[in-house]
Amino acid sequence: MKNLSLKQKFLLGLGLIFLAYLILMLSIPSWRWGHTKDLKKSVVKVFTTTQNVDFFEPWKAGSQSSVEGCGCVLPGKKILTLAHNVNKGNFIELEKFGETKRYVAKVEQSGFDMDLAILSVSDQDFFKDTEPVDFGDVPTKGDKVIVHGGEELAVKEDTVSGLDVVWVWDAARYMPVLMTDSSIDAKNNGCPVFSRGKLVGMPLSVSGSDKKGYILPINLIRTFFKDIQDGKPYVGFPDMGVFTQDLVNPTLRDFYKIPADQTGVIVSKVLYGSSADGLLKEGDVLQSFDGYAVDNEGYVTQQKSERVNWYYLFPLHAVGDVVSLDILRDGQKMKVKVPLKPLSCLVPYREDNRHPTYYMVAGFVFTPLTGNYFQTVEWKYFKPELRDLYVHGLPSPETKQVVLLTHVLPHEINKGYERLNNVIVKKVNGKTIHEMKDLIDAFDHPMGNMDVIDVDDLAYFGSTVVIDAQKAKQATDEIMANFKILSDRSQDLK
Amino acid sequence: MKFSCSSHSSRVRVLSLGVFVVLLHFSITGTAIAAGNDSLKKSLVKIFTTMQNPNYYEPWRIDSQISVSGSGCILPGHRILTNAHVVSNQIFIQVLKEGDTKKYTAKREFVAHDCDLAVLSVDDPAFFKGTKPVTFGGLPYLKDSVQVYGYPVGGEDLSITEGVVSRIEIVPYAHSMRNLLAVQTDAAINPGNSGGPVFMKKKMVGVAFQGYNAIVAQNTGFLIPVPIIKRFLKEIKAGAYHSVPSLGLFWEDLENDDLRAYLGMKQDQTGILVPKILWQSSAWNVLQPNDVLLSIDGFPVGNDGTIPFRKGERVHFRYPLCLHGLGDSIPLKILRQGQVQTLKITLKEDVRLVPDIEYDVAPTYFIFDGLVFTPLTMNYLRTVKDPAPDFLVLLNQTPTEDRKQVVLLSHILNHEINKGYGHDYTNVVVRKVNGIPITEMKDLLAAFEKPVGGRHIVEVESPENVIDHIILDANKSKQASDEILKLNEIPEDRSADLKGASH
Repeated sequence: MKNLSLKQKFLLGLGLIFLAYLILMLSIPSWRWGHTKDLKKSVVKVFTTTQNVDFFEPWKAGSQSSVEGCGCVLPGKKILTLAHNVNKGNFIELEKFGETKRYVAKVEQSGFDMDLAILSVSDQDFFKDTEPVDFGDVPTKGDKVIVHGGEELAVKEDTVSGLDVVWVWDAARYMPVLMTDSSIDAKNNGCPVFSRGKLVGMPLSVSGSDKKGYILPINLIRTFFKDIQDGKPYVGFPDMGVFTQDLVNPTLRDFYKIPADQTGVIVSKVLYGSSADGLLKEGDVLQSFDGYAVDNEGYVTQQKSERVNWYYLFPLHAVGDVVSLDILRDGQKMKVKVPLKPLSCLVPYREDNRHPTYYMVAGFVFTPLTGNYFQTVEWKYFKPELRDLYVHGLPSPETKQVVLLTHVLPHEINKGYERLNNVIVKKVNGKTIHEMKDLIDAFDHPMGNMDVIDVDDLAYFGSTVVIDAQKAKQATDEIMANFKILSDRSQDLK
Repeated sequence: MKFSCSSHSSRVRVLSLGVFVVLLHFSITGTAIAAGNDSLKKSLVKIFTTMQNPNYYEPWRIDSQISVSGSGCILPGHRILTNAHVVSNQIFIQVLKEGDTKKYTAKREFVAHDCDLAVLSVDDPAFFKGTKPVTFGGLPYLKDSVQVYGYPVGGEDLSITEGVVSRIEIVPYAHSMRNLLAVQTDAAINPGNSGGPVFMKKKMVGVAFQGYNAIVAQNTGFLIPVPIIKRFLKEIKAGAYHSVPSLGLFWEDLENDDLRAYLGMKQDQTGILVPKILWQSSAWNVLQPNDVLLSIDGFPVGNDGTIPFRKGERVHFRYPLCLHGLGDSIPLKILRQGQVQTLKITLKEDVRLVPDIEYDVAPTYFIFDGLVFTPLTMNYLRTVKDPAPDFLVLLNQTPTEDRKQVVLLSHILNHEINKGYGHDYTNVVVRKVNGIPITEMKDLLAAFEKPVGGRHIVEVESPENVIDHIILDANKSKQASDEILKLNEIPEDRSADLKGASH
């Protein structure tokens, strides 16, 4: 640079600065520029002190811990967050972006399978300077989404890689989810997912998730809001309750006499007590569900040509909705109307289960087998018989619940039975035990002066447990005193 | 529906002992150097084995070779005693006597997988020159001092370690998962010691064979005691080995007073409850469910399932079986509906729904139109990564007339004929073929002979007990089967044991 006057130098400098500013502005993606300010007003932090429930010793209060997550402001002065952030919470606080004041909140509604919860705040000051989110559409493959996460609610961009139906541990069932390239993990605990400034989903925790991220899509969130409108209690999203087999092989199609131009899957099992119970039959060919044609692999094609498993369609309905099916029965085309019911399962899991059912007599602790109980110890330490029931067990008219003798609180009366643990109870005093409340009546009617418990556990611990019925009452009292147990049974059995 | 559960603090831990027991052969090569003037050394042999294990997932294939080494000792009559697991699935064995440099080729004469013992012979008589056979001692007592001889990991030379007898008990033998008498010692026993002799006062009192994984326990090595060895030698003297018999019953202890009273036992009676009897076992049609076993082979059974052993010692009631042969009769005293009865029981082997681990046999398989069928065995289960709980449940189940084996559709070799099935059906249980119930592998052969209406109908059962149908075009079967075998380079459509069975 030669022979430039001071003024020229000044102008050149100014020009360079302006140029740099322009380049900087252009290099920042538009979402950062356009929407960050708004979204900050919609995203809040959620602090929860949780009290865990002890499903192994249900009379005890579980340990306390704290959870940090986030949520977003909804129209109507409510907060949307993940249910697992707040369900066990006995104290919930909210904090706005860039503020330090915390506001106390409480759970209004929670959807255990969608893992969604709605909070309310009594101090209306909280909503000052907040902006409720707008609901967007389900993003499609290749769309960019942004997620807030971490300590300072930092923003991260991600790309939607597709829609899939996966097993979700917290829901204990299959769910349709959006997948992203990189993981949206615990750090994004409840932090809403946006696209083009609108809410398009909530992060979802999927067990065994690799490097992918999972998002609960906005249309499911919409269904959840529909389910709970007017303060209706949430009962979970519906399920058809059928097993199906693909109809790809030509010889198989021939066997079932399915014309070449017809598609569908064959119903191989109808579950007891399910939506389809009494309406569909084994051997029916399911051809369409709610207007969507089902192909030979059990997939439906959605708008924007996303091909997904037909399971994807259940959560878009509420329990009580009536869906129309086209089926092929004995070669005849038929229409069937099915009122949708909740999932029927033998070993249920409820994230919001805060009061485990239990009954203790003479040191023997009984509880129903639930998904929650499986979280008391590591999965691999459960006998395969119990794990199999959880994964594959189906309810039947004979078995509505699996009643477990979980362990024995030692006392003179139960000497010799100390090793019994996690055994399935078949009968008590000759009475078949279908569910927990059968126990109470059965123990009221001893066989002579003995209480006889038949358990099904030949390979490990044995078959028969006998105790002195006359001493049982006193022993129960002594055990309650020794082990500091306030009640011999849970509230629901009283 | 597959998923894994998140981990939480563990409260109930049911540890299976067998999982942590490690077999002690060792994979090294090298030569030992002559040493010392201890006469016991003249009984020592180092054994080198080349093994070839079968592949249970693709049973027409054989896995790659592995080399292992172990220890052994000279028996009277120019024989060598070692562990079965040192020479199982062997294709070539060499032996090297202590102080020598020449390896001799050996042959396996007899093998007893259940009690993990084997006897080898060497064709060249020169091998036995300068060797000295061992003399047997008896069963040691606790705190007796013993010396373990062998060639464990850590060097090439003979190693001698010393310790005391710390326990004598029925334990699971890791090689077979059978429960048999074993002696535990705190003398160091390490990989390579397997098959080596253990001496007490110059007499052999056992064969070192297994130890604990060091993460679980230290200084716990096990030896096969003389009574088990003598039974083995007695059996093979008759020309063939027959395994230790089983009673074939489930049992539970009777330590609770109320339970004993409920079963009608008097104050002075002790015993154990038999809630279930295994199909076609020794006790089948002899004992009944809910009999109380009061005594076995003349020994009164305690409420905890033990019988008197030596003075001041007790042992598991199964111990007498370790000394008997198949076909022997032993007396039992039982309490049935309040009446004491004396019965005779003829001893047999158990029939298992899912056979225990097996060696030296080729896996059973049958391939039809690309569908690979195989029985569920422990060997097969070990090839399955993270087996589903419904498989593990089968391990505890017992066979019946209607179900002698669990016949699996292991996987499908893809071809036009089985289009659309390959993805959905792996490791599923086969229930019927062409309407014929499949109770064991050989039923498949006859069933595929009888297509229904020009089709083969295979009914498979999901873990939820839901039946799916796999339908195949019978007219295209022959050609498709041939093409599939050729394409996958499979020499035979079935294992040798299924040839000539039917079909």
